Amino acid sequence: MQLIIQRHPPYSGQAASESLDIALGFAVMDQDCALLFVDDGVWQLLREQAPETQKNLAKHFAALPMYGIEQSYCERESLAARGIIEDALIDGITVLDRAAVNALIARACGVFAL
Amino acid sequence: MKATLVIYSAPISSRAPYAALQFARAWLAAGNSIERVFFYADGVHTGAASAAPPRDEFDAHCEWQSLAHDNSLDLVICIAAALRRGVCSAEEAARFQRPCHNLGEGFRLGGLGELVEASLNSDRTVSFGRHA
Repeated sequence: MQLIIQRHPPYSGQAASESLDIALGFAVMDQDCALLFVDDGVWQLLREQAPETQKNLAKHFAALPMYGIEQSYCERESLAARGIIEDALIDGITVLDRAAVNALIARACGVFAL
Repeated sequence: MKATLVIYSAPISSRAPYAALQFARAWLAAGNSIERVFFYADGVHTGAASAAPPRDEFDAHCEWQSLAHDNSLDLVICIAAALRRGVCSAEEAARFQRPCHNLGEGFRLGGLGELVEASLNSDRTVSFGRHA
């Protein structure tokens, strides 16, 4: 499994969308891959986003299963540190505690973190 | 062992291209090979031949060019990331009707599929980001 780690906030540069592009690159070549959101990357998962001049990332994430990316994970500690409750997140995100996140990274055969 | 290197950050504003170069030299010296070096996100600035740092500073563009020349390395600059940032080949400059181009010799533009393919063909993929 290829793991793409999202650790940058949305709408503050290209890091979020360029990370997503790596995941889509693996997915279109039928490779097993997953997204992991940590640190400020968890802001990308907020359900209510209304960007005026950039693409709405949350809408892209909702479409990931269509590309064969079934698994998206988020770190519980990163949410807690920012006061974000799980109900505020888009659907289909598995919340893991830090120990499980570490295990996920250890299990991945490739890790991509911008 | 075969490795693919990915560089995510730009020269001058990060140490990533320098750290990656040092790694590449050590990796090759130890008898390993490099499948491809992929410059992504801000890392694409490494491909700009128009950068002219002072003589006593690290010149990421020229150093990578020379290492690639000596070891027949495949240096690929992500085309989408590069065009966004003003790193452009003669062909793309003509396509987008831009007045100039700056992609240096020894570098070529390619898609993300080339990162995926190289990574799958390698024993290791090693990333160099803004904290490198």
